[in-house]
Amino acid sequence: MSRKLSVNIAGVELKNPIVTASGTFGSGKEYAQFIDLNRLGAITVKGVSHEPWQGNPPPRIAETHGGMLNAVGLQNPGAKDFIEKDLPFLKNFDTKIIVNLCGRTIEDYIAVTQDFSNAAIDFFELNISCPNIKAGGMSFGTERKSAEEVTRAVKKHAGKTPVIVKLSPNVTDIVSIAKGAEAGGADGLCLINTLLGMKIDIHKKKPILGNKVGGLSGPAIKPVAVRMVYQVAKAVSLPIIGTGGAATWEDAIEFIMAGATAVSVGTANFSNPRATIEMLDGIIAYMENNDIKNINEIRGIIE
Amino acid sequence: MKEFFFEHAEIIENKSISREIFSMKIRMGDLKNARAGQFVMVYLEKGEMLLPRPISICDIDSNTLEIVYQVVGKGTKVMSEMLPGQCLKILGPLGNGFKIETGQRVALVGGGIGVPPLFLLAKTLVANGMKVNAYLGFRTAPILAERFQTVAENVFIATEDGSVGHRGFITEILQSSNEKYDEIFACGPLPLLRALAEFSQATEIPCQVCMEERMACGLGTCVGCVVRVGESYVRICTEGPVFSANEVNWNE
Ligand SMILES: Cc1cc2nc3c(=O)[nH]c(=O)nc-3n(C[C@H](O)[C@H](O)[C@H](O)COP(=O)(O)OP(=O)(O)OC[C@H]3O[C@@H](n4cnc5c(N)ncnc54)[C@H](O)[C@@H]3O)c2cc1C
Ligand SMILES: Cc1cc2nc3c(=O)[nH]c(=O)nc-3n(C[C@H](O)[C@H](O)[C@H](O)COP(=O)(O)O)c2cc1C
Ligand code: FES
Repeated sequence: MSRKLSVNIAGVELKNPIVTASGTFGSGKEYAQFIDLNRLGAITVKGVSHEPWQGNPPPRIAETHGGMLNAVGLQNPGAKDFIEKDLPFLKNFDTKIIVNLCGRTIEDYIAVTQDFSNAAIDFFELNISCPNIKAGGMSFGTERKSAEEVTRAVKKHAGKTPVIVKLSPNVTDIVSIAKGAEAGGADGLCLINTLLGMKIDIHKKKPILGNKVGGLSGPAIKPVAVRMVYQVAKAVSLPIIGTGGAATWEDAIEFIMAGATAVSVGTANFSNPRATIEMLDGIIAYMENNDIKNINEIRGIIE
Repeated sequence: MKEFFFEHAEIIENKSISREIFSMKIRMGDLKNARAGQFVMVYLEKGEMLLPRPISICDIDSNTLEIVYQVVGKGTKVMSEMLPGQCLKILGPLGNGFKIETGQRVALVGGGIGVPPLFLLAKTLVANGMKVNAYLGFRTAPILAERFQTVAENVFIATEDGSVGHRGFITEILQSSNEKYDEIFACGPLPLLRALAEFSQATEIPCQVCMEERMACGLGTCVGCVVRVGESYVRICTEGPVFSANEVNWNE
Protein backbone atom coordinates (compact mmCIF):
# COMPACT_ATOMS: atom_id res chain seq x y z
CA MET A 1 0.00 0.00 0.00
CA SER A 2 1.09 3.56 -0.45
CA ARG A 3 2.67 5.35 2.46
CA LYS A 4 2.50 9.10 2.88
CA LEU A 5 6.00 10.50 3.04
CA SER A 6 5.26 14.09 2.21
CA VAL A 7 5.69 16.79 4.80
CA ASN A 8 4.62 20.40 4.93
CA ILE A 9 6.84 23.33 5.84
CA ALA A 10 5.21 26.74 5.92
CA GLY A 11 2.61 25.73 3.33
CA VAL A 12 5.12 24.20 0.94
CA GLU A 13 4.89 20.47 0.41
CA LEU A 14 8.12 18.43 0.35
CA LYS A 15 7.61 15.01 -1.24
CA ASN A 16 9.58 13.44 1.59
CA PRO A 17 11.49 14.59 4.67
CA ILE A 18 15.02 14.11 3.25
CA VAL A 19 16.80 17.39 2.55
CA THR A 20 20.44 18.16 1.83
CA ALA A 21 22.29 20.49 4.20
CA SER A 22 23.80 23.76 3.11
CA GLY A 23 27.47 23.82 2.15
CA THR A 24 27.75 20.08 1.74
CA PHE A 25 25.92 19.52 -1.51
CA GLY A 26 27.35 22.30 -3.65
CA SER A 27 24.58 23.35 -5.94
CA GLY A 28 23.36 19.83 -6.49
CA LYS A 29 25.09 19.34 -9.85
CA GLU A 30 28.00 17.40 -8.43
CA TYR A 31 25.75 14.77 -6.89
CA ALA A 32 23.41 14.35 -9.83
CA GLN A 33 25.55 11.52 -11.15
CA PHE A 34 25.21 9.48 -7.96
CA ILE A 35 21.58 10.00 -7.11
CA ASP A 36 18.31 11.05 -8.68
CA LEU A 37 17.83 14.59 -7.39
CA ASN A 38 14.11 14.24 -8.14
CA ARG A 39 13.83 11.91 -5.18
CA LEU A 40 14.94 14.50 -2.62
CA GLY A 41 12.43 16.41 -0.53
CA ALA A 42 14.51 19.55 -0.96
CA ILE A 43 18.01 20.71 -1.78
CA THR A 44 19.63 23.36 0.36
CA VAL A 45 22.31 25.05 -1.67
CA LYS A 46 25.59 26.41 -0.37
CA GLY A 47 25.58 29.67 1.55
CA VAL A 48 25.33 32.74 -0.69
CA SER A 49 26.05 36.35 0.09
CA HIS A 50 25.32 39.57 -1.79
CA GLU A 51 28.97 40.14 -2.73
CA PRO A 52 31.47 37.34 -3.38
CA TRP A 53 33.25 36.09 -0.24
CA GLN A 54 36.80 34.84 -0.44
CA GLY A 55 36.77 32.47 2.51
CA ASN A 56 39.45 31.42 5.00
CA PRO A 57 43.06 30.38 4.35
CA PRO A 58 43.68 26.63 4.04
CA PRO A 59 43.76 24.07 5.53
CA ARG A 60 40.01 24.28 5.86
CA ILE A 61 39.21 20.65 6.69
CA ALA A 62 40.23 18.39 9.57
CA GLU A 63 38.84 14.97 10.30
CA THR A 64 38.06 14.19 13.94
CA HIS A 65 36.76 11.04 15.64
CA GLY A 66 33.34 10.48 14.07
CA GLY A 67 33.25 14.04 12.78
CA MET A 68 35.03 16.75 10.89
CA LEU A 69 35.93 20.38 11.37
CA ASN A 70 35.51 22.90 8.59
CA ALA A 71 36.59 26.49 8.33
CA VAL A 72 35.63 27.25 4.76
CA GLY A 73 34.53 30.73 5.75
CA LEU A 74 31.52 30.68 3.43
CA GLN A 75 33.53 31.19 0.26
CA ASN A 76 31.04 31.85 -2.52
CA PRO A 77 30.91 33.81 -5.76
CA GLY A 78 27.93 35.92 -4.71
CA ALA A 79 24.18 35.76 -5.37
CA LYS A 80 24.31 37.09 -8.93
CA ASP A 81 26.69 34.37 -10.05
CA PHE A 82 24.65 31.71 -8.25
CA ILE A 83 21.40 32.83 -9.87
CA GLU A 84 22.98 32.84 -13.34
CA LYS A 85 25.03 29.65 -13.17
CA ASP A 86 23.55 27.26 -10.62
CA LEU A 87 19.86 27.96 -10.24
CA PRO A 88 18.85 27.08 -13.84
CA PHE A 89 20.31 23.58 -13.38
CA LEU A 90 18.34 22.99 -10.18
CA LYS A 91 15.13 24.13 -11.82
CA ASN A 92 15.30 21.03 -14.02
CA PHE A 93 14.44 18.82 -11.07
CA ASP A 94 11.22 18.12 -9.27
CA THR A 95 12.44 19.07 -5.81
CA LYS A 96 12.23 22.15 -3.61
CA ILE A 97 15.06 24.65 -3.49
CA ILE A 98 16.22 26.20 -0.24
CA VAL A 99 18.65 29.09 -0.60
CA ASN A 100 20.97 29.59 2.36
CA LEU A 101 21.70 33.27 2.96
CA CYS A 102 24.67 34.71 4.76
CA GLY A 103 25.75 38.18 5.69
CA ARG A 104 27.99 40.16 7.97
CA THR A 105 25.49 42.91 8.69
CA ILE A 106 21.71 43.27 8.58
CA GLU A 107 22.16 45.32 5.40
CA ASP A 108 24.08 42.39 3.84
CA TYR A 109 21.23 40.03 4.64
CA ILE A 110 18.66 42.40 3.18
CA ALA A 111 20.75 42.89 0.04
CA VAL A 112 21.11 39.17 -0.60
CA THR A 113 17.41 38.61 0.06
CA GLN A 114 16.62 41.27 -2.54
CA ASP A 115 19.00 39.64 -5.03
CA PHE A 116 16.53 36.74 -5.13
CA SER A 117 13.37 38.82 -5.51
CA ASN A 118 12.83 37.57 -9.06
CA ALA A 119 14.30 34.09 -8.67
CA ALA A 120 11.93 31.16 -8.40
CA ILE A 121 13.02 29.47 -5.19
CA ASP A 122 10.98 27.76 -2.49
CA PHE A 123 12.57 28.87 0.77
CA PHE A 124 15.15 31.19 2.21
CA GLU A 125 17.28 29.71 4.94
CA LEU A 126 18.84 32.40 7.03
CA ASN A 127 22.29 31.38 8.22
CA ILE A 128 22.69 33.38 11.38
CA SER A 129 24.89 30.73 12.87
CA CYS A 130 28.05 30.21 10.90
CA PRO A 131 30.89 30.22 13.40
CA ASN A 132 33.53 30.92 10.79
CA ILE A 133 33.13 34.57 10.05
CA LYS A 134 34.90 36.80 12.47
CA ALA A 135 32.92 39.90 11.64
CA GLY A 136 29.24 39.40 12.42
CA GLY A 137 27.83 35.96 11.50
CA MET A 138 28.29 34.54 14.95
CA SER A 139 26.68 37.35 16.87
CA PHE A 140 23.25 37.25 15.20
CA GLY A 141 22.67 33.70 16.24
CA THR A 142 23.99 33.94 19.76
CA GLU A 143 21.65 36.58 21.09
CA ARG A 144 17.90 36.43 21.14
CA LYS A 145 17.52 40.10 20.27
CA SER A 146 19.79 40.09 17.23
CA ALA A 147 18.29 36.80 15.99
CA GLU A 148 14.88 38.41 16.12
CA GLU A 149 16.09 41.59 14.41
CA VAL A 150 17.76 39.91 11.47
CA THR A 151 14.81 37.57 10.99
CA ARG A 152 12.41 40.49 10.92
CA ALA A 153 14.58 42.42 8.47
CA VAL A 154 14.84 39.51 6.02
CA LYS A 155 11.19 38.59 6.41
CA LYS A 156 10.25 42.13 5.39
CA HIS A 157 12.09 41.76 2.07
CA ALA A 158 11.38 38.09 1.38
CA GLY A 159 7.96 38.63 -0.19
CA LYS A 160 5.99 35.39 -0.29
CA THR A 161 9.03 33.16 0.06
CA PRO A 162 9.01 31.47 3.49
CA VAL A 163 12.01 32.16 5.72
CA ILE A 164 13.63 29.34 7.69
CA VAL A 165 16.07 30.47 10.35
CA LYS A 166 19.08 28.24 10.90
CA LEU A 167 20.21 28.22 14.49
CA SER A 168 23.67 27.96 16.00
CA PRO A 169 24.24 25.41 18.75
CA ASN A 170 27.00 27.56 20.26
CA VAL A 171 24.63 29.16 22.73
CA THR A 172 23.60 28.60 26.34
CA ASP A 173 19.88 28.48 25.65
CA ILE A 174 18.80 27.36 22.17
CA VAL A 175 15.11 27.73 23.07
CA SER A 176 15.48 31.43 23.73
CA ILE A 177 17.10 32.01 20.30
CA ALA A 178 14.38 29.91 18.65
CA LYS A 179 11.75 32.09 20.32
CA GLY A 180 13.59 35.17 19.08
CA ALA A 181 13.40 33.89 15.51
CA GLU A 182 9.74 33.03 15.97
CA ALA A 183 9.03 36.53 17.27
CA GLY A 184 10.87 37.96 14.25
CA GLY A 185 8.43 36.18 11.95
CA ALA A 186 10.32 33.00 10.99
CA ASP A 187 8.27 30.44 9.06
CA GLY A 188 10.44 27.55 10.15
CA LEU A 189 13.67 26.64 11.88
CA CYS A 190 16.67 24.57 10.90
CA LEU A 191 18.96 23.24 13.61
CA ILE A 192 21.75 22.74 14.25
CA ASN A 193 24.65 24.37 12.48
CA THR A 194 28.18 23.26 13.39
CA LEU A 195 29.64 23.31 16.90
CA LEU A 196 32.78 25.39 17.28
CA GLY A 197 35.79 23.12 17.67
CA MET A 198 39.56 22.85 17.30
CA LYS A 199 42.22 20.27 16.47
CA ILE A 200 45.94 20.59 17.11
CA ASP A 201 48.75 18.90 15.22
CA ILE A 202 50.97 17.94 18.14
CA HIS A 203 53.99 17.29 15.91
CA LYS A 204 53.88 20.66 14.19
CA LYS A 205 52.65 22.24 17.43
CA LYS A 206 49.96 24.27 15.70
CA PRO A 207 46.26 24.06 14.88
CA ILE A 208 45.41 22.03 11.76
CA LEU A 209 42.97 24.61 10.43
CA GLY A 210 44.29 27.80 8.86
CA ASN A 211 41.56 29.60 10.78
CA LYS A 212 42.64 27.79 13.99
CA VAL A 213 39.01 26.96 14.90
CA GLY A 214 36.20 25.56 12.81
CA GLY A 215 32.76 24.02 12.86
CA LEU A 216 32.33 20.42 13.99
CA SER A 217 29.84 18.30 12.04
CA GLY A 218 29.08 14.64 11.41
CA PRO A 219 27.85 11.77 13.61
CA ALA A 220 29.86 13.10 16.58
CA ILE A 221 27.37 15.98 17.02
CA LYS A 222 24.14 14.05 16.50
CA PRO A 223 23.17 13.64 20.17
CA VAL A 224 23.51 17.39 20.68
CA ALA A 225 21.40 18.05 17.60
CA VAL A 226 18.67 15.59 18.60
CA ARG A 227 18.51 17.10 22.08
CA MET A 228 18.22 20.65 20.70
CA VAL A 229 15.53 19.68 18.17
CA TYR A 230 13.62 18.01 20.99
CA GLN A 231 13.83 21.07 23.27
CA VAL A 232 12.93 23.55 20.55
CA ALA A 233 10.07 21.42 19.19
CA LYS A 234 8.52 21.42 22.65
CA ALA A 235 8.85 25.19 22.99
CA VAL A 236 7.87 26.69 19.63
CA SER A 237 5.22 25.75 17.10
CA LEU A 238 7.32 26.27 13.95
CA PRO A 239 8.23 23.36 11.66
CA ILE A 240 11.82 22.22 12.19
CA ILE A 241 14.42 20.85 9.81
CA GLY A 242 16.64 18.71 12.02
CA THR A 243 20.28 18.53 11.08
CA GLY A 244 23.55 17.47 12.63
CA GLY A 245 25.21 14.13 12.07
CA ALA A 246 22.33 12.36 10.36
CA ALA A 247 23.88 9.62 8.24
CA THR A 248 21.47 6.67 8.30
CA TRP A 249 17.73 6.17 8.09
CA GLU A 250 17.71 5.38 11.82
CA ASP A 251 19.18 8.82 12.47
CA ALA A 252 16.48 10.42 10.35
CA ILE A 253 13.71 8.64 12.27
CA GLU A 254 15.34 9.73 15.52
CA PHE A 255 15.21 13.39 14.45
CA ILE A 256 11.59 13.04 13.38
CA MET A 257 10.61 11.44 16.68
CA ALA A 258 12.38 14.28 18.48
CA GLY A 259 10.08 16.69 16.64
CA ALA A 260 11.65 17.46 13.25
CA THR A 261 9.42 17.76 10.20
CA ALA A 262 12.32 17.14 7.84
CA VAL A 263 15.93 16.06 8.21
CA SER A 264 18.84 17.57 6.40
CA VAL A 265 21.94 15.60 5.57
CA GLY A 266 25.34 17.25 5.43
CA THR A 267 28.63 15.58 6.22
CA ALA A 268 27.20 12.15 5.39
CA ASN A 269 27.28 13.15 1.70
CA PHE A 270 31.08 13.22 1.96
CA SER A 271 31.30 9.75 3.52
CA ASN A 272 28.79 8.36 1.07
CA PRO A 273 27.55 10.36 -1.94
CA ARG A 274 24.44 8.16 -1.99
CA ALA A 275 23.61 8.69 1.70
CA THR A 276 20.43 10.71 1.13
CA ILE A 277 18.80 8.15 -1.13
CA GLU A 278 19.82 5.23 1.06
CA MET A 279 18.27 7.03 4.03
CA LEU A 280 15.05 7.62 2.12
CA ASP A 281 14.81 3.96 1.13
CA GLY A 282 15.45 2.99 4.76
CA ILE A 283 12.65 5.25 5.99
CA ILE A 284 10.24 3.70 3.50
CA ALA A 285 11.20 0.19 4.62
CA TYR A 286 10.83 1.19 8.28
CA MET A 287 7.34 2.52 7.60
CA GLU A 288 6.40 -0.72 5.83
CA ASN A 289 7.76 -2.89 8.63
CA ASN A 290 6.05 -0.90 11.35
CA ASP A 291 2.87 -0.22 9.44
CA ILE A 292 3.24 3.55 9.60
CA LYS A 293 0.90 5.01 7.00
CA ASN A 294 1.96 8.61 7.33
CA ILE A 295 5.41 9.81 8.34
CA ASN A 296 3.79 12.63 10.30
CA GLU A 297 2.37 10.03 12.72
CA ILE A 298 5.73 9.61 14.37
CA ARG A 299 6.77 13.24 14.42
CA GLY A 300 7.48 14.49 17.93
CA ILE A 301 6.16 11.36 19.60
CA ILE A 302 8.78 11.57 22.33
CA GLU A 303 7.16 13.05 25.40
CA MET B 1 29.06 15.68 -17.44
CA LYS B 2 32.05 13.67 -16.25
CA GLU B 3 31.77 9.93 -15.97
CA PHE B 4 32.87 8.60 -12.61
CA PHE B 5 33.56 5.19 -11.29
CA PHE B 6 31.99 4.74 -7.85
CA GLU B 7 31.80 1.10 -6.84
CA HIS B 8 33.26 -1.51 -4.58
CA ALA B 9 36.40 -2.60 -6.36
CA GLU B 10 38.39 -5.71 -5.67
CA ILE B 11 41.94 -5.50 -4.41
CA ILE B 12 44.19 -7.68 -6.55
CA GLU B 13 47.47 -6.93 -4.85
CA ASN B 14 48.59 -4.88 -1.87
CA LYS B 15 52.27 -5.07 -1.07
CA SER B 16 54.98 -3.08 0.62
CA ILE B 17 57.47 -1.65 -1.87
CA SER B 18 59.56 0.26 0.65
CA ARG B 19 59.41 1.17 4.32
CA GLU B 20 55.85 2.33 5.02
CA ILE B 21 55.10 2.59 1.30
CA PHE B 22 52.62 0.26 -0.39
CA SER B 23 51.47 -0.44 -3.91
CA MET B 24 47.83 -1.46 -4.26
CA LYS B 25 46.32 -2.80 -7.45
CA ILE B 26 42.56 -2.62 -7.75
CA ARG B 27 40.24 -4.05 -10.39
CA MET B 28 37.95 -1.28 -11.57
CA GLY B 29 35.40 -0.71 -14.28
CA ASP B 30 36.16 1.43 -17.24
CA LEU B 31 39.33 3.49 -16.79
CA LYS B 32 39.47 4.86 -20.33
CA ASN B 33 38.87 8.42 -19.12
CA ALA B 34 41.57 8.37 -16.45
CA ARG B 35 44.61 10.56 -17.04
CA ALA B 36 47.95 11.13 -15.34
CA GLY B 37 47.70 13.62 -12.48
CA GLN B 38 44.15 12.66 -11.62
CA PHE B 39 43.30 11.01 -8.32
CA VAL B 40 40.76 8.72 -6.71
CA MET B 41 38.94 8.87 -3.39
CA VAL B 42 39.32 5.75 -1.26
CA TYR B 43 36.36 5.20 1.07
CA LEU B 44 37.41 3.41 4.24
CA GLU B 45 33.83 2.90 5.51
CA LYS B 46 35.23 2.66 9.02
CA GLY B 47 32.73 4.52 11.17
CA GLU B 48 34.81 7.07 12.99
CA MET B 49 36.94 7.81 9.90
CA LEU B 50 34.37 9.69 7.92
CA LEU B 51 36.27 11.14 5.05
CA PRO B 52 37.55 9.36 1.97
CA ARG B 53 41.32 9.51 1.33
CA PRO B 54 42.57 11.17 -1.86
CA ILE B 55 45.30 9.13 -3.60
CA SER B 56 46.85 9.77 -7.01
CA ILE B 57 46.66 7.39 -9.90
CA CYS B 58 50.11 5.82 -10.29
CA ASP B 59 49.45 3.48 -13.18
CA ILE B 60 46.68 1.98 -15.26
CA ASP B 61 46.69 -1.32 -17.07
CA SER B 62 43.36 -1.87 -18.85
CA ASN B 63 40.95 -2.36 -15.92
CA THR B 64 43.57 -2.34 -13.21
CA LEU B 65 44.30 0.78 -11.21
CA GLU B 66 47.52 1.05 -9.26
CA ILE B 67 47.94 3.45 -6.36
CA VAL B 68 51.11 3.89 -4.32
CA TYR B 69 50.64 5.27 -0.84
CA GLN B 70 52.59 6.00 2.27
CA VAL B 71 51.30 5.02 5.69
CA VAL B 72 51.12 8.35 7.52
CA GLY B 73 48.05 7.96 9.71
CA LYS B 74 45.04 5.86 10.60
CA GLY B 75 43.45 5.66 7.19
CA THR B 76 46.50 4.65 5.22
CA LYS B 77 47.28 2.15 8.00
CA VAL B 78 43.88 0.53 7.44
CA MET B 79 44.57 0.42 3.71
CA SER B 80 47.94 -1.23 4.27
CA GLU B 81 46.28 -4.06 6.20
CA MET B 82 43.80 -4.95 3.47
CA LEU B 83 44.21 -8.20 1.60
CA PRO B 84 43.72 -9.25 -2.01
CA GLY B 85 40.11 -10.33 -2.54
CA GLN B 86 38.77 -7.66 -0.21
CA CYS B 87 36.87 -4.75 -1.67
CA LEU B 88 37.25 -1.01 -1.31
CA LYS B 89 34.87 1.66 -2.48
CA ILE B 90 36.66 3.88 -4.98
CA LEU B 91 35.51 7.12 -6.61
CA GLY B 92 37.32 8.51 -9.59
CA PRO B 93 38.96 9.61 -11.72
CA LEU B 94 38.85 13.07 -10.14
CA GLY B 95 40.55 16.35 -10.90
CA ASN B 96 41.98 17.80 -14.09
CA GLY B 97 45.22 15.87 -14.62
CA PHE B 98 48.34 17.09 -16.40
CA LYS B 99 47.89 18.97 -19.68
CA ILE B 100 49.87 17.30 -22.37
CA GLU B 101 50.33 19.51 -25.37
CA THR B 102 53.61 21.35 -25.77
CA GLY B 103 57.20 20.29 -25.93
CA GLN B 104 59.29 17.46 -27.12
CA ARG B 105 61.77 17.27 -24.27
CA VAL B 106 60.35 17.30 -20.82
CA ALA B 107 61.61 16.92 -17.27
CA LEU B 108 59.55 15.16 -14.64
CA VAL B 109 60.50 16.15 -11.11
CA GLY B 110 59.15 14.15 -8.20
CA GLY B 111 59.81 14.26 -4.49
CA GLY B 112 59.04 11.37 -2.14
CA ILE B 113 55.43 10.26 -2.25
CA GLY B 114 54.93 12.79 -5.08
CA VAL B 115 56.75 10.43 -7.43
CA PRO B 116 53.92 7.89 -8.09
CA PRO B 117 51.61 10.14 -10.15
CA LEU B 118 54.52 10.95 -12.46
CA PHE B 119 54.80 7.33 -13.53
CA LEU B 120 51.60 7.21 -15.57
CA LEU B 121 52.59 10.64 -16.86
CA ALA B 122 55.97 9.34 -18.03
CA LYS B 123 54.29 6.46 -19.85
CA THR B 124 51.77 8.80 -21.47
CA LEU B 125 54.40 11.31 -22.58
CA VAL B 126 56.62 8.62 -24.05
CA ALA B 127 53.65 7.15 -25.87
CA ASN B 128 53.13 10.63 -27.32
CA GLY B 129 56.66 10.55 -28.70
CA MET B 130 58.27 12.86 -26.17
CA LYS B 131 61.72 12.57 -24.66
CA VAL B 132 61.34 12.22 -20.91
CA ASN B 133 63.99 12.69 -18.25
CA ALA B 134 62.93 11.85 -14.70
CA TYR B 135 64.41 13.57 -11.66
CA LEU B 136 63.41 11.72 -8.53
CA GLY B 137 64.28 12.91 -5.03
CA PHE B 138 63.89 11.05 -1.76
CA ARG B 139 64.90 11.39 1.85
CA THR B 140 66.46 7.93 1.79
CA ALA B 141 65.25 4.85 -0.12
CA PRO B 142 63.99 5.57 -3.68
CA ILE B 143 60.71 4.08 -4.94
CA LEU B 144 59.66 3.16 -8.48
CA ALA B 145 63.13 4.04 -9.84
CA GLU B 146 63.47 0.83 -11.90
CA ARG B 147 60.04 1.33 -13.38
CA PHE B 148 60.91 4.84 -14.49
CA GLN B 149 64.04 3.38 -16.07
CA THR B 150 61.89 1.24 -18.35
CA VAL B 151 60.13 4.29 -19.83
CA ALA B 152 62.24 7.42 -19.34
CA GLU B 153 65.34 8.25 -21.37
CA ASN B 154 67.31 9.14 -18.23
CA VAL B 155 66.51 8.75 -14.57
CA PHE B 156 68.34 10.91 -12.04
CA ILE B 157 68.12 10.10 -8.36
CA ALA B 158 68.96 12.21 -5.34
CA THR B 159 68.67 11.25 -1.70
CA GLU B 160 69.09 13.59 1.23
CA ASP B 161 71.22 11.06 3.12
CA GLY B 162 73.25 10.13 0.04
CA SER B 163 72.32 6.45 0.28
CA VAL B 164 71.48 6.33 -3.44
CA GLY B 165 72.47 8.74 -6.22
CA HIS B 166 73.33 12.38 -5.64
CA ARG B 167 73.46 13.47 -2.01
CA GLY B 168 71.18 16.45 -1.61
CA PHE B 169 68.13 17.84 -3.37
CA ILE B 170 66.92 16.68 -6.76
CA THR B 171 66.59 20.30 -7.91
CA GLU B 172 70.39 20.58 -7.73
CA ILE B 173 70.73 18.02 -10.53
CA LEU B 174 68.08 19.73 -12.63
CA GLN B 175 69.70 23.13 -12.15
CA SER B 176 73.11 21.91 -13.25
CA SER B 177 71.74 20.09 -16.29
CA ASN B 178 72.56 21.36 -19.79
CA GLU B 179 69.37 19.96 -21.29
CA LYS B 180 67.01 22.50 -22.84
CA TYR B 181 63.60 21.42 -21.62
CA ASP B 182 60.35 22.56 -23.19
CA GLU B 183 58.35 21.83 -20.06
CA ILE B 184 58.64 20.60 -16.48
CA PHE B 185 56.04 18.46 -14.68
CA ALA B 186 56.31 18.17 -10.91
CA CYS B 187 54.74 16.60 -7.86
CA GLY B 188 56.02 16.54 -4.32
CA PRO B 189 56.31 18.51 -1.10
CA LEU B 190 55.59 22.24 -1.15
CA PRO B 191 59.24 23.39 -0.80
CA LEU B 192 60.13 21.38 -3.92
CA LEU B 193 57.24 22.82 -5.91
CA ARG B 194 58.07 26.32 -4.73
CA ALA B 195 61.72 25.88 -5.78
CA LEU B 196 60.61 24.66 -9.19
CA ALA B 197 58.24 27.59 -9.59
CA GLU B 198 61.22 29.91 -9.05
CA PHE B 199 63.32 27.87 -11.46
CA SER B 200 60.53 28.01 -14.02
CA GLN B 201 60.26 31.75 -13.66
CA ALA B 202 64.03 32.27 -13.96
CA THR B 203 64.45 29.97 -16.97
CA GLU B 204 61.08 30.65 -18.58
CA ILE B 205 60.50 26.93 -18.90
CA PRO B 206 56.77 26.34 -18.26
CA CYS B 207 56.06 24.11 -15.28
CA GLN B 208 52.96 22.18 -14.20
CA VAL B 209 52.68 21.29 -10.53
CA CYS B 210 50.41 18.74 -8.86
CA MET B 211 49.19 20.07 -5.49
CA GLU B 212 47.51 18.56 -2.44
CA GLU B 213 45.33 19.77 0.39
CA ARG B 214 42.99 18.19 2.93
CA MET B 215 39.75 17.18 1.24
CA ALA B 216 36.26 16.22 2.31
CA CYS B 217 34.19 15.62 -0.83
CA GLY B 218 36.66 15.46 -3.73
CA LEU B 219 33.84 16.65 -5.97
CA GLY B 220 33.96 20.40 -5.62
CA THR B 221 31.06 20.79 -3.21
CA CYS B 222 32.65 21.57 0.17
CA VAL B 223 35.18 24.18 -1.04
CA GLY B 224 37.58 22.78 1.53
CA CYS B 225 40.62 21.96 -0.59
CA VAL B 226 41.81 25.33 -1.81
CA VAL B 227 45.04 26.91 -3.00
CA ARG B 228 45.59 30.59 -3.68
CA VAL B 229 45.66 31.27 -7.41
CA GLY B 230 46.12 34.97 -8.11
CA GLU B 231 43.85 36.74 -5.66
CA SER B 232 41.30 33.99 -5.09
CA TYR B 233 41.09 30.54 -3.57
CA VAL B 234 40.40 27.75 -6.06
CA ARG B 235 39.53 24.12 -5.41
CA ILE B 236 42.34 21.63 -5.83
CA CYS B 237 39.95 18.71 -6.38
CA THR B 238 38.16 20.35 -9.28
CA GLU B 239 40.22 23.14 -10.85
CA GLY B 240 43.37 21.13 -9.87
CA PRO B 241 45.22 19.20 -8.63
CA VAL B 242 47.46 20.27 -11.51
CA PHE B 243 48.18 23.98 -11.87
CA SER B 244 50.59 26.02 -13.87
CA ALA B 245 53.38 26.97 -11.44
CA ASN B 246 53.22 30.63 -12.39
CA GLU B 247 49.52 30.98 -11.50
CA VAL B 248 49.89 29.66 -7.94
CA ASN B 249 50.46 32.24 -5.23
CA TRP B 250 53.46 30.70 -3.44
CA ASN B 251 53.55 33.22 -0.63
CA GLU B 252 50.59 31.70 1.21
C1 LIG C 1 45.08 15.00 -4.79
C2 LIG C 1 45.88 14.22 -3.76
C3 LIG C 1 46.63 13.14 -4.17
C4 LIG C 1 47.35 12.38 -3.23
N1 LIG C 1 48.07 11.31 -3.67
C5 LIG C 1 48.73 10.54 -2.79
C6 LIG C 1 49.45 9.39 -3.22
O1 LIG C 1 49.48 9.04 -4.42
N2 LIG C 1 50.10 8.65 -2.29
C7 LIG C 1 50.06 9.00 -0.96
O2 LIG C 1 50.67 8.29 -0.14
N3 LIG C 1 49.41 10.07 -0.52
C8 LIG C 1 48.73 10.86 -1.40
N4 LIG C 1 48.04 11.98 -0.93
C9 LIG C 1 48.04 12.27 0.50
C10 LIG C 1 47.03 11.35 1.20
O3 LIG C 1 45.73 11.77 0.85
C11 LIG C 1 47.18 11.42 2.73
O4 LIG C 1 48.46 10.97 3.09
C12 LIG C 1 46.13 10.57 3.41
O5 LIG C 1 44.86 11.13 3.24
C13 LIG C 1 46.42 10.42 4.88
O6 LIG C 1 45.38 9.68 5.47
P1 LIG C 1 45.54 9.00 6.90
O7 LIG C 1 44.21 8.60 7.37
O8 LIG C 1 46.57 7.94 6.84
O9 LIG C 1 46.16 10.18 7.79
P2 LIG C 1 45.46 10.95 8.97
O10 LIG C 1 46.39 12.03 9.36
O11 LIG C 1 44.99 10.03 10.04
O12 LIG C 1 44.22 11.60 8.24
C14 LIG C 1 43.38 12.49 8.85
C15 LIG C 1 42.72 13.35 7.79
O13 LIG C 1 43.67 14.24 7.22
C16 LIG C 1 43.76 14.06 5.82
N5 LIG C 1 45.16 14.18 5.42
C17 LIG C 1 46.25 13.90 6.18
N6 LIG C 1 47.37 14.16 5.48
C18 LIG C 1 47.01 14.61 4.27
C19 LIG C 1 47.71 15.05 3.12
N7 LIG C 1 49.04 15.07 3.05
N8 LIG C 1 46.99 15.44 2.04
C20 LIG C 1 45.65 15.44 2.07
N9 LIG C 1 44.94 15.04 3.14
C21 LIG C 1 45.60 14.63 4.23
C22 LIG C 1 43.20 12.68 5.58
O14 LIG C 1 42.70 12.50 4.26
C23 LIG C 1 42.12 12.59 6.61
O15 LIG C 1 40.98 13.29 6.20
C24 LIG C 1 47.33 12.75 -1.86
C25 LIG C 1 46.57 13.85 -1.44
C26 LIG C 1 45.85 14.59 -2.38
C27 LIG C 1 45.03 15.74 -1.92
C1 LIG D 1 31.94 21.96 4.59
C2 LIG D 1 30.71 22.50 5.23
C3 LIG D 1 30.15 23.70 4.77
C4 LIG D 1 29.01 24.23 5.36
N1 LIG D 1 28.48 25.40 4.87
C5 LIG D 1 27.32 25.90 5.40
C6 LIG D 1 26.72 27.07 4.87
O1 LIG D 1 27.17 27.65 3.89
N2 LIG D 1 25.60 27.55 5.48
C7 LIG D 1 25.02 26.91 6.55
O2 LIG D 1 24.00 27.36 7.06
N3 LIG D 1 25.56 25.77 7.04
C8 LIG D 1 26.70 25.26 6.51
N4 LIG D 1 27.23 24.09 7.02
C9 LIG D 1 26.55 23.40 8.14
C10 LIG D 1 25.69 22.24 7.62
O3 LIG D 1 24.67 22.70 6.75
C11 LIG D 1 25.06 21.48 8.78
O4 LIG D 1 24.20 22.34 9.49
C12 LIG D 1 26.08 20.94 9.75
O5 LIG D 1 27.21 20.47 9.07
C13 LIG D 1 25.53 19.81 10.62
O6 LIG D 1 25.02 18.75 9.84
P1 LIG D 1 25.87 17.43 9.41
O7 LIG D 1 26.48 16.89 10.64
O8 LIG D 1 24.87 16.55 8.76
O9 LIG D 1 26.91 17.92 8.47
C14 LIG D 1 28.39 23.55 6.44
C15 LIG D 1 28.94 22.34 6.90
C16 LIG D 1 30.08 21.81 6.30
C17 LIG D 1 30.62 20.50 6.82
S1 FES E 1 37.37 18.37 -1.46
FE1 FES E 1 35.45 19.33 -1.37
S2 FES E 1 35.72 20.95 -2.78
FE2 FES E 1 37.56 19.86 -2.97
